Amino acid sequence: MTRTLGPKLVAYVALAATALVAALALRLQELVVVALPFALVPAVALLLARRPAVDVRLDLERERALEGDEVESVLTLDASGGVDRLEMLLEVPRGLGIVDGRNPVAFHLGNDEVRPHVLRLRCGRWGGYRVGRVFFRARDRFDLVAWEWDVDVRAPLKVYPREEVVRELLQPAETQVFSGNHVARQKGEGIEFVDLRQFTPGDRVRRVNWRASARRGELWVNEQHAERNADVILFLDTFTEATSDGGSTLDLALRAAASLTARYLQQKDRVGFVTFGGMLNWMLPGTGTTQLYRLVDSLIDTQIVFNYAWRDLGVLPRRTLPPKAMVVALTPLLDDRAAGALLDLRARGFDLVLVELAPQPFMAPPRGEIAAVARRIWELKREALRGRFREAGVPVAVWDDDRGLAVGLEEVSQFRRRARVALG
Amino acid sequence: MTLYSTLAGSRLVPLVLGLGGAGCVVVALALVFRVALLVPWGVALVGAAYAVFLRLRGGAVDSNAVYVAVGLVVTAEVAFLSLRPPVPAGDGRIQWDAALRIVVIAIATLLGGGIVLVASGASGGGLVLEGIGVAASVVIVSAVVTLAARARDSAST
Repeated sequence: MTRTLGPKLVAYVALAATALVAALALRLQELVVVALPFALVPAVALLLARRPAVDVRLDLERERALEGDEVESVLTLDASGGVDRLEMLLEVPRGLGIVDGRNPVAFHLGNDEVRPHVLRLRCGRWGGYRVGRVFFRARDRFDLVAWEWDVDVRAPLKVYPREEVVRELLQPAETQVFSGNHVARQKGEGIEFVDLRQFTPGDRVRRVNWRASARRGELWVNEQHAERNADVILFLDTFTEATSDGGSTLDLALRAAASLTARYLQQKDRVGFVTFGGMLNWMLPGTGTTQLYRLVDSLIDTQIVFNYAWRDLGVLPRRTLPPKAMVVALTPLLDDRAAGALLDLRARGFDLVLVELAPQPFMAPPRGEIAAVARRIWELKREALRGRFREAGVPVAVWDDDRGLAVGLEEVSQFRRRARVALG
Repeated sequence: MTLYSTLAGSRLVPLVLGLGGAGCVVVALALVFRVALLVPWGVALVGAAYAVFLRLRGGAVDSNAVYVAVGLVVTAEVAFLSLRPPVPAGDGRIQWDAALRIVVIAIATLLGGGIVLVASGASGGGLVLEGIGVAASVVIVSAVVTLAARARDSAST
């Protein structure tokens, strides 16, 4: 706690001293009367000034919220000694806002008074926040002495990105060995019919195709496609982002990642993630509701960390990218390091899908002819980069806020269908 | 206060008016540019105009000094109040506290000034000023007793 003497105190003491000296020098008793209030007010104020004793507690309505939700916070002040004027400011992290309630605010607190102050917070942007750093300034009755201090009663508030509408998920090219919802290329126990073969000892009777057996005079059995799960790795490019007041490409990436994570985990797939950028972060693939919470909790801590260091796939632990996994890369394609790593990933045989988070909506329109030409050249270079990915067999979906993620994923599905036809 | 010093005096009126006017301008500048440091300079200039007026006037003690003191201190209080960073009030009491404080300071100045003038033997104040002086004595004795009692309580706790 810092005690400061206000400019008013200095001014009053100086005025009183000047008037008294003038009274003596000029032999004017009236100036003593003029000096009187300026001398008495500081004297009484310093005599009555008491060090404030205020306890504060913060209660958040809940710890988890979605983007756009409102959360009520209650700051409860308990003044054991009373404060004539207490000014309070709750530090609101960037990304949150106050929709109802006064901040800063000034109170008078009596002896042993307990006063709750309600603030309604709006969760504007996803992220892991800690709310509850409170700054206080107490003033004495005459506004001459002030005490300033801050209290840390921070409580966690996790704001999850809002979900994007995803009508149809991308089907992975390869499946894993555990049962799931994807029709595998391999034959095995399942529903989808694939072929007929002759009966062999050990085959179940219920798999016998009686119509085919009657026609051929010997037992034939049906074969089905196995139903397996898949490994899906979400690859977030966090080298750089395009940002404006309305959001950023990282916001799009997080919303897409959260939506895809929830949907793939519903299908019993194993989902993991890698944030590849200035700061590396990863989570090994897993399944179930626990994995969903772990993944989303880790994702909301994602941030752009500026870094010049060259990064390639060698820095990633081997288990983060399991064989036959489908890698969904969410990237604004603004950094060559991310593009190089993704092409390397494809060259290693991974089933790679590229969701390009369009940076153009976050950029100011070009001003002047030269800027317009520069923008066109930049667009052409991006198109060339997309072409390199398509040549490598990587479907590229361009996603911006207007088009929606579902449209981009549908484009990817069509690309894959066309690629299969061409190969056949 | 400037007008009083100017109109009541008869010698060197432009000097008194100039000093008082400069004080008013300085206070106004302090309020416009939100510079608290200028407020005491403005008040001091107005006080200087009053001192010049008193010096040139001579004769008996000016019984209106107490009102000049009230005017100066109220001006300083209001100026500092308007320069304080605005913080929205969380309750009704905080809105009236400042006004109440200024009224209390004005009354205390009237009472205290009255005592000083009575003690200095100022004449011309009449029965009103004598009454203010007596009331001020009572209030000051009460205040001292209250403060002493509070100090004893806080020491015992």
